[in-house]
Amino acid sequence: MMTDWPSRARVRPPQPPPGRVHFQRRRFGRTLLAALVLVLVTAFTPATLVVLLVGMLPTVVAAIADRSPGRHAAVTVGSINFIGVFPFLVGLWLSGNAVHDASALVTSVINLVLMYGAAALGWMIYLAMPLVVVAIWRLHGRSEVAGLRVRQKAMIDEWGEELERHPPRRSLTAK
Amino acid sequence: MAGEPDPSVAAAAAVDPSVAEVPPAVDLTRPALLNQRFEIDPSAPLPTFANGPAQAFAVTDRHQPGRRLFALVCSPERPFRAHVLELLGNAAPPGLMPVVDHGLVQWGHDRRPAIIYVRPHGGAIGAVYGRDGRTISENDIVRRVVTPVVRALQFLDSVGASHRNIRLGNLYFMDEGRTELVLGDCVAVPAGLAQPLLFEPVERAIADPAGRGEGTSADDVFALGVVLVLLLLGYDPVAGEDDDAIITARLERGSYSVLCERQRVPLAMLEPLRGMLCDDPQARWSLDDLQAWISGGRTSVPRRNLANRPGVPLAFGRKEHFSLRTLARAFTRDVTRADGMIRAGHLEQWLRQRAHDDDLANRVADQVTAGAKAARWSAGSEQNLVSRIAILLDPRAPIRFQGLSVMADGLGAMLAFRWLGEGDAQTPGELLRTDLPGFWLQVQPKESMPPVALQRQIPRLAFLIGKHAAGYGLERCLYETNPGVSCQSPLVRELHVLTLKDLLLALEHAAKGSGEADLPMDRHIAAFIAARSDEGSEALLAAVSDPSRSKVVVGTLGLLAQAQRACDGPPLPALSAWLARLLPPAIEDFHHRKTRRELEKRIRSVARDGRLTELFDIINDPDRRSADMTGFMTASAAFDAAASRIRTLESDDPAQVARVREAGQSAAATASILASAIAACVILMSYLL
Repeated sequence: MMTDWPSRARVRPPQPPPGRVHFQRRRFGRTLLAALVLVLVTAFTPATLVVLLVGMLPTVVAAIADRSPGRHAAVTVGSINFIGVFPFLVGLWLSGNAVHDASALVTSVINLVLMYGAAALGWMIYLAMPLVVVAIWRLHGRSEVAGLRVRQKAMIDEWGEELERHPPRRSLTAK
Repeated sequence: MAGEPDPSVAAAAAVDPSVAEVPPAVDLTRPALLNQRFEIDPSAPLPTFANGPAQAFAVTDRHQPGRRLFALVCSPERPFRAHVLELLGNAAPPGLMPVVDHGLVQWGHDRRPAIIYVRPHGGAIGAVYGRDGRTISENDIVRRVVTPVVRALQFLDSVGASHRNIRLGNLYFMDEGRTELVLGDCVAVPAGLAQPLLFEPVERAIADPAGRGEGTSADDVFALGVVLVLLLLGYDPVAGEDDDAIITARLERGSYSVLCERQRVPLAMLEPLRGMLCDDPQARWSLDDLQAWISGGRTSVPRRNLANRPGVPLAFGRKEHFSLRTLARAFTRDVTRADGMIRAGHLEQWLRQRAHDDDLANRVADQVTAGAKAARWSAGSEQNLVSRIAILLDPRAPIRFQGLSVMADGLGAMLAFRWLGEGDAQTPGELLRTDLPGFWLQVQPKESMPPVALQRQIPRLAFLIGKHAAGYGLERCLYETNPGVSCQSPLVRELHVLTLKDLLLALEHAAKGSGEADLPMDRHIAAFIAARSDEGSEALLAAVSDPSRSKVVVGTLGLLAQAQRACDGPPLPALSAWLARLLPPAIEDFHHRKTRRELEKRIRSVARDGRLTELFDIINDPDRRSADMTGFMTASAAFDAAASRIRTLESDDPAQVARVREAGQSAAATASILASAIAACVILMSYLL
């Protein structure tokens, strides 16, 4: 009796799962788009690029440092940092968008303080907001516990203290 | 109501509404009053009319002072035949001494059943005839004796009763001219108890007097036959003989031979006497045969059957036995030796080789095999085996066990006799536990099966004796088999309670007393109610035996309510109040506090009215109980859910905190994006405008 070996034609290399393939394609597409935008900006607006590169430096650092799934730190710092950079960009664009103007902007200490100060504010928001939310959540929890205790007391008044001593409950719907 | 017994009396003395009131003990030198009418004079005994342990006394009727009556006052240690009194009802049957009234009477410290009869004027027939050579001729005997007795027996048979007290001393002439003969009392003592051995069929004569059994009309026919022999001869043909010798002779030769052979019995009476004195109840003349003979018709005469008599005797003890019946009797008198002979196989061998009865030999062998197995674990197996072998050898004979000798239909009377007389019914109880009556029933020949009622009663007693809970056991057997036995509970014993109504009144009386017991319930009361009511009471009896106090109280209330419903009893406010005081544990079985308060309020209200049934319905409402349990389970689930939620909220779970913190970071990012967009718009607009 012959052994039913699998034929060579049937043997296929291990395939990645379909979801992973989809994710890799998206990542590759986004990288390609970013590179294209960078090339265009470098080619047509070098002054803007200089201001952005210098002004948004804290955001780049945050993006590198933040490995959390939602990258909330990078997004928060970037958004506020951008508010600090954007007025200078608009001024640059209105004055002709020249490279030497951009150099003057990014070498001014006051300008840098403003741009990096905005980034610092973003960090503060990112760090403070969870503390505030947790505090609110705890307050709400305490309020709910008080409400539940009042309800339990009402039930004990109606049904007696056996409710507390009652042995393991049977589900009313259990067969 | 002279001459009319109370129709509602299921057990003679239930009619006295004052049963709950215990009058002070009467002085026995002064008359005792029955039903506010009949004065029974303890100082005027009438021994002529006594029936065994039931004493007779002169009676004065307050309504008709000139009436000649007498009372039979029953013994407290012997059950009377309440069921026969109930069957007689209002009837005034011909040939029976007329019952005027009956009820309970205070007799010294006891309350005893008493039956009032019209006093016969002509005295007992035995005082005139059947002795000193005074006879009644064969021509007169049919008209003066047989005809009225048969008429009375036909009536009793038609209502399903037997007389079982037919003897010379209990047949009376109602008139001074001695023309009207009646049968005397048949109610005041257990069936056959007061009968001399001679008047009983041989198998019942072997039995202990208290265990001779209710019997049938066939037993009355036999007793009538003996009466006729004595009246025809004018003397007792076996006078002076030892009872044991007479029984042995009757077992070996037959009752007819013992009584009539070598006696000058008129020729014309030989056939009827042979028919009436036949030892085989199936072959004995029936009432129809007697009626046919009275009417001059032809009747068949049973022949003596010696076909089964073994040719070679079996020696046992100091006697050689040709008869299986005498052998069975000898075995039960020497159990140890009989057991040795049976287990050694000698009996089986004799049955096969000498008596040529292989079927009986096989059945004996089966019992020996079963007995050998039982011997390993049962100390009483020796007695059990011998009793069973005796039943096999003589199926018609009484069941003989540990010195008891009792007919199957006399088990109840024997139980009552032992319980009431000696306060110990362990031997009859043991007999029931070994299921000897069931075995006796199995081996009865098909042509002579006992009455259906007895066939049903035997397995029922075996079932009842096997259960140990309250309401079963020996007490239940006692009340099931003896309608004339009063409730033996210490709470009510002195009131001689015979019916459910009397029991409730007696408990009401006890509730009013200062010495209130823990519960108005014990094994006797439970068994008494279960035996006397028609409703099924298994669930209530189970509750009474439950370890939970609340269930015991509810079961007690339920049983008493069942009794009140069964007898349509009067309101019982004191008993209701007593039970209401015991109900709090049962109320606490309900969880809902408002329901508890409502129940307490309603119970207080209903208890005042004395309605036990309503009280029970309140505490045992299945809908309310179900709603309470469902509500409690729902509340319990909600309470649990709340507790679980509280635990979660109070635990400060790091994972939960991390989730909230992450939500805060997400909120910071979202807010920043929004702020960034708004700021960009504002900046652009400020430059452009």
